[in-house]
Amino acid sequence: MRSATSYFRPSWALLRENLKRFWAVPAVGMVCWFFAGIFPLLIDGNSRQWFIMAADMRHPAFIIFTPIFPLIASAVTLRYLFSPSSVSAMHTLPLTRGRLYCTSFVSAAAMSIAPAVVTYLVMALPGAVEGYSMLPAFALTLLLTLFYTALFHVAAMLTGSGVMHLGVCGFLSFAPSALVLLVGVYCQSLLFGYSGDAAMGVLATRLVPLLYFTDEGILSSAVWLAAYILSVPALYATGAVLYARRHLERAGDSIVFPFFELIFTFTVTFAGMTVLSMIFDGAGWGKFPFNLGLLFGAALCLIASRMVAKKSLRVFNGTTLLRGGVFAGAAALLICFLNFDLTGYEKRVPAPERVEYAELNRDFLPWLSNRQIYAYGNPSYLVFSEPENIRAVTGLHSSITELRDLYDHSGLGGMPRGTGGGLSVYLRYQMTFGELSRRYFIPAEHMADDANARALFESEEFKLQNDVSNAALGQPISVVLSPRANYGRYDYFPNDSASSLALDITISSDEYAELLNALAEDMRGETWEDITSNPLCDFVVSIDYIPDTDTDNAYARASRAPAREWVSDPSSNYAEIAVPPHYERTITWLVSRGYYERLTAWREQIVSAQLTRVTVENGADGAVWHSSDSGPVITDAASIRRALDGASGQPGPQWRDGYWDMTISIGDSEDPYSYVSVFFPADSPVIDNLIGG
Amino acid sequence: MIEVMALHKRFDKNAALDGLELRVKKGSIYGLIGVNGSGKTTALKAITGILRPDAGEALMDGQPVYENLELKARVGFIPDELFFFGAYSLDECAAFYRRLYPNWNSGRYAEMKERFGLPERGRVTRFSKGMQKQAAFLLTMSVMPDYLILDEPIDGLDPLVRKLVWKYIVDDVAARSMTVLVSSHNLREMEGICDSIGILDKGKMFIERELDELKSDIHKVQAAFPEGTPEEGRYDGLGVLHREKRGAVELLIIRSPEETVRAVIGSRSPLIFDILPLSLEEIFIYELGGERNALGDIIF
Repeated sequence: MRSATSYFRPSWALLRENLKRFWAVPAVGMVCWFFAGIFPLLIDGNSRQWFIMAADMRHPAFIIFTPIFPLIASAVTLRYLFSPSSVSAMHTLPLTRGRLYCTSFVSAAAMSIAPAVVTYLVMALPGAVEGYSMLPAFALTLLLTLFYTALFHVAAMLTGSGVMHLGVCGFLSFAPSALVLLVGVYCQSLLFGYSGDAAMGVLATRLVPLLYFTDEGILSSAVWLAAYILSVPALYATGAVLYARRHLERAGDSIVFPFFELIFTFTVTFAGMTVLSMIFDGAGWGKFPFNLGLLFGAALCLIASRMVAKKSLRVFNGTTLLRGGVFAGAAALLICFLNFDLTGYEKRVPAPERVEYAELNRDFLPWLSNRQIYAYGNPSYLVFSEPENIRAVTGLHSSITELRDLYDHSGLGGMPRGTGGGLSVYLRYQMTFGELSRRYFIPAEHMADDANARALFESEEFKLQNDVSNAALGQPISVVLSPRANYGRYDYFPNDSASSLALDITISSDEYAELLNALAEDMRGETWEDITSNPLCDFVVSIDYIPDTDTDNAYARASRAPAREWVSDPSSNYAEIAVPPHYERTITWLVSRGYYERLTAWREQIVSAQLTRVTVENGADGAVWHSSDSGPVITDAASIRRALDGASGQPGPQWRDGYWDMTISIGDSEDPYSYVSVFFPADSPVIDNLIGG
Repeated sequence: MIEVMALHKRFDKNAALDGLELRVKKGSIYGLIGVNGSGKTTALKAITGILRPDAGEALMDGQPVYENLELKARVGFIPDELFFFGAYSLDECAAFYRRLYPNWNSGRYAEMKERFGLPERGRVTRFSKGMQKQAAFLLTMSVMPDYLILDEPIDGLDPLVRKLVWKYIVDDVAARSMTVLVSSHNLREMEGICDSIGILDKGKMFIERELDELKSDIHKVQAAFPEGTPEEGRYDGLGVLHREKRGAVELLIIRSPEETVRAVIGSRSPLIFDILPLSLEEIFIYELGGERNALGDIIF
């Protein structure tokens, strides 16, 4: 009992000596914090940006100081553990291990936090004047300082030398996160639907507190904040237990505890195996070098880590061989576990009744429809909270899981093979308890033919989220009407190549409202076929506007999902909406205002068209390669105009056999003033007629 | 009183202590001797609570020393390898000790500092090896320990300082009944100061006796016999540790009571028969040399 309670009672005599002996640590800390915190205040006391950074713990210097000073302070206060003479001398003193440990912790934490206390105190008043409270940032600094001090004390208990202590500090800081990411690499390669930025990716980020807190903010997750608060006493207790069990005669060894030697060597071996195989895989040398990378990386790093752990080159023995065998067995188990999906990950589709709402990415839509629709700062994800739509999402998900055979996992490149030119589909479910995320690369045809996809994209919930009248399109600054121009993925020509054909129109409030209403009605009336068709959009409406955050939002009122308040990003101030031929109301409005005629006048000024045959190849790593060969130049303007009726806006993933690019010169035959590009499938009869004609 | 019972300590696969038993009476000076690697330093570190034994107990006043704060405040230990805080002067070290040890005696510190003539200022770590040893001794004696554990305390000290060190120790033993456990290879000095001796071998106590008793049991004998006296059975009944013939004279080391030695050899009508004084160093060599034949062959 006496020994246990002493872990909470520092020796004031030793604490005083520590502060006296290592005064340089807080002194250097004070200088650093001064130049990062107080000095900028003296130069520019009204720097709002600086206060924002400081208050949110996003100041780069603060981020660096928070782990660095606990590292230095822990290293110096615990240095006595790493020499037989000093450890004997310290343990001769009338101090229990508990008191020595507690005193060291308090000393290191005090030396690390003292400069921050002074800095935040000085910053508090001017911060308050500027409207920023320094208290949360200080609380976070205090929490992270205690966390890192406790973590680095654990590192010291595990090691027997100063150099190794620093190394293990780094190891413990990043190894849990790295381990999650490394397992994620195998998951991404071996599991169909694995989303690297989902649960494990989030976990990896959150296991590095600096990344997590500085990225997400202190109040982003009460659960994780509580976890970090609780981790401080947990780490402190771990260090205390290790100290009580530490054999002092191990001073000078690299690693003190055999169990940690196993953790260290196996983690390093796992990392080496993964990294080397990825390098070999990335070089595109094939499967054999990839497997060789696995083997060679594991063997090399096992031997190297054993050498470090044993502080000796003499590790070529039976123990190393045995460890290698155990590791190989464990690695094989992991790979088999994932390869044969023993967790049922791939088939896991949530029951609709357990889903509060589901999210589906929208950025595959331009790929599918070959036009950039609804571009006014829309959120990346569509949200579906109506029961029938949730059922449609889970139904779509189920149908995608049936496509597993398309997925050829034979490397760690991260991209599934055999799906080149496919769609990237993200699914995210908010369950009654927890989340579930999946990411798939699937053929475009699957989505286009899927009845659930049709149900979703024709649902009222989808329409509400894409209704331009629900967006924050406030007062217009400028409205530009353009004829068909290049934008998006295959931007061979700069947009302004067609800018000479654009109309910067002056529009009244009534006309603006009419235009938006026409667009909204056309959008609401779109069918799934309309969306997935591949039309040549003759017009693009570009609007610079002042965001109107007070607009009554029909979607926000209708949706049961808490995640969305606005159809568009309230901070966005630019919208670009393509107008396909089936936007009848919008086209009618353009005709009635006389814009239609002016915007299509270029058709009468066509001079010639350069045809280019583009070949599409699916690379082994999932990438899509385009190579082009110049074709004939067509000079018959009438034929070109006829061909335009069968043209598409942009090439899409479904054109796996390649396509034709027709670049039309407009204006003077000697000196065309603009170009327009349109596209045709490789087997398009329009091109056959054109070339034949 | 210091009691060590069945103490075991292993370093990896090597047993440094293998069931060590040891008893030091209160107010006595106990000398722990043994060849290199016999486990002396490990034993001292286990007794002072620095190392945690794998098994067995080390008690002072009947209490375990390990993690015993009150007891450790009454123990002074000077290890073979010294350690001082990097930039500290002797006075700064003393100030630190004063805050830690309840029995710190500033008067003694001042008096000893003057006697040893150590500088008050200047880093202790920059002192010579002998001066560092003096500084450690000075600081340790100023905490007025009830138990003083010393590992090679006079190694590196000049004869005058050595004499002074022993004087302080003996005076404290006499005045305060301080209990001293000292390990040293300087057996001549140990012989002059120790009440009891323990010879450690391979982590075990080989012999543990009071010094006088140890000496009364082992004898160095010089004897010569008339020609024709049969050599066989000449020393039957005596524990002969070593026998060596130098011309007609035989030199023997015998572990038996003096009366028995006199009776047995006297009955053989020797021409020459002397019992010579035996030093601790000789006892150590003969005992361990006899035990280790190879070592004995080299020494004798």
